[in-house]
Formats: sequence, structure tokens, C-alpha cells
Amino acid sequence: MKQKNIINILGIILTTLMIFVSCEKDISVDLPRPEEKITIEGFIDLDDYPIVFITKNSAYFDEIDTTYVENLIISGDMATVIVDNGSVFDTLVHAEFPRWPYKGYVGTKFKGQINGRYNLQIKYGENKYFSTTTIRDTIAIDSVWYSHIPLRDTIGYLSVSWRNPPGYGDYFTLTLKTGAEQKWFYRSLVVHLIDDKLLETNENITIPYIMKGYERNSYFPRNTDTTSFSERYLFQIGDTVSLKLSTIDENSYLFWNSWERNNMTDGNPFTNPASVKSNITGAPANGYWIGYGAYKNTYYINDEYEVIPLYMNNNPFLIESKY
Amino acid sequence: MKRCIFFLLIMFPLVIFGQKYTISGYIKDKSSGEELLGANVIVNEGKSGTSANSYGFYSISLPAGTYEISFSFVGYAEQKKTINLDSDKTLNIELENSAVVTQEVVVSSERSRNVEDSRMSVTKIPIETVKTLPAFMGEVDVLKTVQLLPGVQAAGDGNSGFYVRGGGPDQNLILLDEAIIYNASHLLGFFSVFNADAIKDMEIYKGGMPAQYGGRISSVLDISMKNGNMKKFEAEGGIGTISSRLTVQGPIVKDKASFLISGRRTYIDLLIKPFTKKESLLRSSGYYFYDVNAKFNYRFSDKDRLYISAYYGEDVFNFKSNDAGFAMGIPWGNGMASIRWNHLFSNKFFSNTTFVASDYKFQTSIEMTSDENSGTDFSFIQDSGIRDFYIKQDFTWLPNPKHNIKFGLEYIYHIFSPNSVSASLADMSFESVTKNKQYAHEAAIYIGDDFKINDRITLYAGVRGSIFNQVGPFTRYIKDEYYLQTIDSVVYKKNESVALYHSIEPRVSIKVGLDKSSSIKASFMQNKQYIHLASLSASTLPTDLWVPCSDRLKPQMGRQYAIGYFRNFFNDHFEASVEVYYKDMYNLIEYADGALPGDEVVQDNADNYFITGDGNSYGIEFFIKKRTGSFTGWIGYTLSKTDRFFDDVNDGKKFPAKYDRRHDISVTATYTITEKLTASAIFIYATGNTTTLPASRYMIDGELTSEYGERNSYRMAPYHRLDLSLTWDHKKTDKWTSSWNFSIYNVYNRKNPYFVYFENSGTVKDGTFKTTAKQVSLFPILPSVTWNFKF
Repeated sequence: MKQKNIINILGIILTTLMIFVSCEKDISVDLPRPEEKITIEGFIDLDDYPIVFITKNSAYFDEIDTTYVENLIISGDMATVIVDNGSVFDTLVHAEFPRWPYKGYVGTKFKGQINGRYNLQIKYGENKYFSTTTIRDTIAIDSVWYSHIPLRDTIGYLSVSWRNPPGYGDYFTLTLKTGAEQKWFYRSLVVHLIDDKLLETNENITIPYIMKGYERNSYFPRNTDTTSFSERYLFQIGDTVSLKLSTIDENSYLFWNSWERNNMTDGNPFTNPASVKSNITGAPANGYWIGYGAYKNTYYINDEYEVIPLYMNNNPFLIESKY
Repeated sequence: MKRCIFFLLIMFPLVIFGQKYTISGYIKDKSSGEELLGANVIVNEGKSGTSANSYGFYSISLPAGTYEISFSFVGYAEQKKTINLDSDKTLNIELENSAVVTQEVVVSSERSRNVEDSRMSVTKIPIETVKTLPAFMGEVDVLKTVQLLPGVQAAGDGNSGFYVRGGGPDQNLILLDEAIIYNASHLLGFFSVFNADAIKDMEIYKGGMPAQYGGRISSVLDISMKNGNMKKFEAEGGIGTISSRLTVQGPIVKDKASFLISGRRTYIDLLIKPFTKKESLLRSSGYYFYDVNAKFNYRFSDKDRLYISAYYGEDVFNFKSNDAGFAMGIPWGNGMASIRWNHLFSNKFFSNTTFVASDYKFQTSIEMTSDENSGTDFSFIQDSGIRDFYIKQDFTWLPNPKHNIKFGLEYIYHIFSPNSVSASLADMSFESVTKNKQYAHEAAIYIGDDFKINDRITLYAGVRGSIFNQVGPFTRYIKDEYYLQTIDSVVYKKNESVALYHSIEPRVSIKVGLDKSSSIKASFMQNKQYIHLASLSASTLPTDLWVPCSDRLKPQMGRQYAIGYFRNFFNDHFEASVEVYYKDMYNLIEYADGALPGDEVVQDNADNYFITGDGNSYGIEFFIKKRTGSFTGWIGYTLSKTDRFFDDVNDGKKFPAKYDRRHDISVTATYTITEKLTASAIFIYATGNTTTLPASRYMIDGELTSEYGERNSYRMAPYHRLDLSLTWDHKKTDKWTSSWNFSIYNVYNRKNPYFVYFENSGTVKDGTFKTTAKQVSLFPILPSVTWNFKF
């Protein structure tokens, strides 16, 4: 929020100015064609098999149709994806998923474990790509509560809080899945990446404004005209929400942080856009390989606007927090 | 040590002459009593001479005898006096402003500057020149005129800074009556803060900076305000399309004390209001700027004089929406007050003591209310700024006509406020989350001598020693290796030293006259600069942050070498010069990629977000000027290259600076059609600014992500523009003058690039998804009319 203030302010000043004086026109930008690079989105959750998606980059000004997008996706035999935990090597197999790019690779031989170290290698054409990640200890969500938005008493947002472990350098991601219709943990509208930069040690981390997660697909955006903002992003009585709070290691944080920065500054002519720090080595590639120390739980918003944890005692993923 | 002795040797080979007497005094305008800065004093048709200093004071020592001395200044009738010099004499001169100046007068007064002056890369611009050039929206502009000189570049519409020989906008020392002005522009650079009616003249040094100036590595723009008419009351002003101005000046005690007050304000916001509905956003929102200049001066005697100058200017942007319960105010501006005392210890020894307080601030305040009846729910104030207290003692010693020695010392106490924030939410207040101010002492001592070795060779040698000390209270927040998390902090107590830097800055220039109308000059300067301006964007904006050197941030350093050939043609009606320069710059700063202002407000320091690197610039500048006749004007052309080297940018490879300009041409022309009608034109052409554009894109978690190409690898379209102006003096009597000025900015409606952005359109489903580059331009053709008056 704070980072955007000045940029927004400048935006308002400049917009006002431009109402009076500015004009714009289309120009053709002559840029050299970029080299083909692949984008790797790979992760291994605690108690889950590794999943890897591979896509290709595109030139900035290419005209894009369905076939073009289809050709960006690398799946099946096109690449060989191997994940190992130091002793077992697992060649990932083709699978389909409810998120972009819908086709990817999934492991079959081992699931992620706390303090596990996982190596990824990918062979695509003549190129090889490598990365390593770890799964950190999980942190349990302490409490979840609901608040109305100002002046409305039927819709609201959730707040989540958990105990921050001692010392700095703890990094978290928060994703969620609503109701029966969502089949994947998506990033929420605003908050995804959290660090303990501003906290005293052992203090609670509270994320006050959590809205629903949703599936992103810039090429095939969901039709957003039929539902209102509040229906899409805010919670109400009867909603079932699954939250996934994951601990991640520093490299993974660097990736998400630089990516969020890139996202925030991209296209803004008044700043130097951030470059995304990929943790993939070998041939040039974009993307990440991340181990998530995932804590998951599901909650129900009852008639009294209380948030009731549904599976606290029999959640197969639940691991007691040490803190 | 040897070096010091060497300097002393060059500076003080004061030859012992026989019995000599000194003639000294002030050179003034006859009608107003204003001192004429830099007016020429020529003895026996050029055998010897000097010029008045920046307070209009001159002094020349000659062997006993009879001399014919002529006093002259641009735009004034020359006066010749025959003096029998048998004792020290004081001679105050009043020159008459001549509407019809004979060509010879102008010629003889200006010749010395181009060819004979030992200084190079210096241009003096009288305010009259500025006033004849086309106005922008009715306002003539001091800074815009400076940018028409070769080696001085504008960064294009919507940019407030100017760039001298590849240096950044923070590397220019801008002085108004000796006070440093940190933000010299209104409305994001569309107007300068200098109201032309209150300005007497200005001088810009692009290189070869004399030792009395320091603290910046690229240039000095020294602007002098008028003192106020000593003889009679006078009012002048103008009513323009978007702004109006008024200046009143006059004697308080005739020939002893005078004052000047000058003000300006834009009024688009006021004009729009009556035409908008009560609930309209435009009614509660708006933008304006104003500024006020005031000056008072008192002459105690021929030996003592006091000047008090003040300036205050502010830009205010308001946005208020009652429906949304949202109000925002963004004021920013400069203020300064200076007190100067001139004292003559003797007719060869001039002293000036200056006290200055100056202040620059930028503030954003936001208030949000959810319910009209309740109080403010959320408020947020963000401040940044810089405040200086400044004392300076300058001496000028003119032992004989061969030497002009200046020495002195100065001290500045800086208080920097990089972004600080306070906020309140309902009843809770987060007062001053961080107010990590930075305090610093800066001091300098200098000496320089302009030594006329013989009729052909003049040498200027000077040296400046400077010291900078950042002191506590201060908290240094230490970051992890990625500069993401604050992992530790160091607290400095009040007056505890945080960082200490010092430097010795040699300045040398030499002129070798080839013949009466041509000379070769060369100069070298080395400068240190203890403050940085962190600019987030490619354009210069008021949000740019002034930060001092610190334990993390080293001072900027610049070294410049220049050589030039200077020649006057056709009986001095034309002057021309070619200058070549090379400049190295060290410890420049940039924001790290992806940094945003406001990052540093909590448990952090602004300078944790900067990266440092070096730069260089080289170029050749051509200048030709016709200065007499009914047709006057100049052409400047600069061919240059400016690069930067930053370890953390472009993998350490060199990249062009954002204001790297291969070609820069400016042409100005003024034609006096009749006594009442003057036409003028400006044409500018400049290679386009560089920018960084995305080269490819890829998807992360379903979102398009841009991958950017090399830093500043894309060049926008060139900037060019023609402005025209016509001034009609329709009424001119002794008591009342009024004129109409018609100006057209950007005559052929060139769409000059401000920035480029991208827009996605279409859908993949329909096979029409594509990205288009769009160029935003600010000013189309803009005609304006101003009515100016004077009585």
C-alpha cells in the first residue's frame, strides 16, 4: 500500500495535467526479437508430490491467438523433468491441473517432508535446467476472524493471525480456496507474500484484509462482468474457505518478492522496473522451484459471522505449531 | 606540501610597482539606481581594465597619471571620464539605459567577455534577453533560456531539471542572491520559480568553476534579484492566460534605501470553479502555484550596504471527493531568506558577509472519512525536505590591475528529512513512524586569483578545501545481503560523527590571446558534492529525494577538462566559440531496480535503496551569436555522449545515461521590425531520451510478466519544437508603458515524447490479442496572450 502512494499521487497529478494538455499516439517500437526462454513453475508442498509447469516466453509485440498460446505450453514428452530428494529420483509424469497452463508434470515416488531438500532437473531440447529448494517447518494459523466492510453488514473480509518464530528471516505465502467450486489454492486479491521485516520477534503476524483467491489467466481472463466485486472477492455467511499458510526459504522469497515488485512497477514510466530473480540455473530460464512448508485448514463462516475451523482435529495436513 | 607551495607561487607573484593609486566605486543604472553587475571598466582604450563584481563594485589601481576611463554595460550608453589620478579616488558611475543603443557601445562592452576573459564555459544572460524570447503560456522563463545554450540541455516537456555536460540535475548549484534553491521549478518543470520581473541577471558556469563556488560538480547558475529602484516608485506586471504577476519597487529613503516586492500566481483553479457544479470534483480539487520575491537594501554609507532578500514559492495540488470521503493535499515548495552585508575595508578590499536560511519541502497528506458525521477515519502525512542554515564570508582583494584575488569561507548546517511518515487510524495514532532526519555540517575555504600575466595571457588558479560531517542523532538500519530485511541497527548520539569526508578541489583556467579578436582557453576543475538527489524516474519530479552523504553513501566527485577557441567576427558584431570537454563523475546514485519511494519509511534509511556507480561525458559545443543590429540571436550545437557504469545495472556493462544526447541544437532569433514591434523565435532539436522497455513476456501463476531489455537501450523519438513570439509596445510614455505579447508554443504541433507505455487489447479467443506501444506527449500547439504594463 505505502509503496504505491506516491506513484498513485503522481498518477493523479499527471492525469489532471493531461486532461488539459496531453495527447497520445500509437508508435511502433522496433525491438530486437528476444531469445526463446522457458519459464519453469515448480513446487513441492509438504506431504504432496512435486508439480512442475513449463511454458515458453513470447515477444512483447506478437499478436496472440489460441494456437499461439497452445504452442507456449511444454508438456508430456516435450521435456524430461526429474526431481530427487537425495536418494530417490522421480521422473515426473504428465498431468492436468485447474490452473494455467493446465498441463504439467507431477511426481509419483515421494512427497515433500519437513527439512527435505529437493533437486530439480529439466531437459528440454538441448538445454538443461537445474534448481534446489528446501521445505521449512510449518507454522500453524492461530486464529481466523471475520469483519464487515464499513457501512455494509453482509459482506466482509477475513483476518488471519499466527505466531512469528523467533529471529528475523521468516517468509510466508498465503493462498486460499473458497467453497466447492475452487479446486486450487489461489493467491488472494491482495496479500500473498509476507515477511517478518517489521516485527519484533515472537510477535503475532496479523493479516487484516484477506479477500478471496481467484484463478489468474491473462490470456483467457474470466468474465468479470457478470459478478460484482463483492461477490467475487468478499466473504459472506455460509462461505467455506480453505487457507494454506506456507513457510518458504530465502531463495523462494527472493523470487516472489522480485516478481511482486516487477508486477507493481511494470509499465510504470516513473520507475526503473524490477527484474525478476529466478532461482533456476543452467540454460537461461525464468521462473522458480519452491518448497512450501504448507499448513492447511478449512473454515466455515456461520450465521453469527463466526469463523469455525472445520477439520482442526482430523486435518490430515495439520502439524502442531511449535510456537 | 609541494603542491601548496606551487599554488602559492602561482597565485601571489605580486609584482611591485611604483607609486600607485586606486580608483573605485559602484556602477549603477541612472534611472533606478540598480547596480550593474559585471559592467566593464576600460582604461585608455583597452590598455588595462576590470569589471564590476557581483555587487556592482569595481576597483582598479594604476600608476599616477591621467587616464581616459570608459564605463559600459550591455544596453547602456557608454560613459567616458578623464581622470587625473594623483590620489586614491572614489568614482560612482550612473549609466543611462539607452533604448537606441549604438552598436559600438554594445560591442566594446561585450568583447572582453568572449575573447578576453580568462573564464571559459561561462555565459551571462541579461534579463532583457530572456524577456524578448517567446513566452510559454505568457510566462518568460529564466531556466528555459539557460537551456538554449550549448552544453545545457532540457530533458523535454514535463521535466524540471536541466542537465549540464552530462551531469544530473542535482549537480547544478542554483543560487538566488547567494541562497541555494533546491527545487527550481513549478508544475513539474513547466515554469521556473524565478519570476523574471524580480530578476536582474544571471550567469551560468558549465565548467571552469571559480573556487568561490562549490558543493556541486556540474555547473553554477548564479541569479541576482533586482535591488529595488532607489530613485522612484515603479510598478510593473502582466496579465496572462493562466497567471498574472505584479512587481512594486521604489525608494524608502531616496538613494539610500529601497525595496522590491514581486508576486505571481496561476489561476486556472479559480477560473474553473464558477463553471463547475457544486458537487463536481473540479470544484474541490485543483492546482496552483504562487511565489513571492521581496528585497530590501539600505546603503549606510559608501562603505557599507545591507541587502535582505526573501523568496517563498509553493505548488499546491488538492484533490477532494466528498462522496468518496477522500481528500488529498500535496504542497511543495522552497523558501529562503538571505541577509548580506557589503563592506569596503579599503578601495582595494571588498567584503561580503552572507547569512542564509533556506528550506525545501514536499508533503503529501491524505484524509479518509467513511461517515460525514464522524471525524477523520484515516489520515496520513508524508514529508520530505531539506533545511539549510548558511553563513559565508567572501573577500575580494584587488592589489593591482593584474590580480583579482577572491578568498573566503563558508559553513552550512543541513537538516535533511528523507521521507518521514505519520498516520492515524480512527483513535489510534502512529505518530512519526520514523523521523530519521540526517544532520550535517559542511564547510569550505577557498582562494583564487585571476592573474593577468601579460596582455595575452591570463591565468586563473584557485583551490577550495571542503569538509562534510554527518552527525547524530541518527539510526543506521543494517540490511541483509539482499537489502530486503532490516537485521540490525546502529544508533548515533547527538553530535556523534556518522561520516566524515573532505577534499581539496583545484580549479585552473588559462586564456591565451591569439590576436585582438581571438583566443584559446583551457580549464580544469575538480569538485566534490556532498549531497545527492535520488530520482526514481526518468523525469525530474518534486518527489525526488535529497539525501546527504552518509556512512553508506560517498560524495559525488567530478573532474572536467575543457579547451576552447573563441573568436569575434565582423568588428565584434558576431561572437563564436568552439569548446571540447571531457568529464568524469564518481559515486553517482540511482534507485535500485524496483525501488519505490516510501520503501524506507519504517525502520530503514533512504540510502539503503540506492546503488552507486560512475559516469563520464564528452562532447563538443559550437556557439555563434549575432549581438547587434535589428536582427540578433544565436545558434548552439552540441555533439555529446554520456554513459554510466553501475555494477548492479546491466551486469556492470556501460549504458547510456537517461539524458544522453547525441545532438542538441538550439536557435534563437529576435528581429526588431519597428520601434514598437519585435518578433522572436526559438527552435530546438534534441536526440530523444533513452528509456528501458520490455523485450519479452512470460506467464507466472497465470499473470503476464515482463522481461526488460538492457537499461536505457531504447531511444524515444527526437524532441523538436518551434516557438514564435510577437511583442507590440503599443503605448510608451515617460510615465506609462504597456505592451502586448503574443506567443505560440510548439507552432507546428509536434508531438514530443514524454513517455512510452503499453496497452493490451483484444482477446486471445478472437485471435486479436496484442500489445501496442503508446507515446504520451504533453504540449500541443499553445497560443498565449499577455498584457504587460509598467508605470
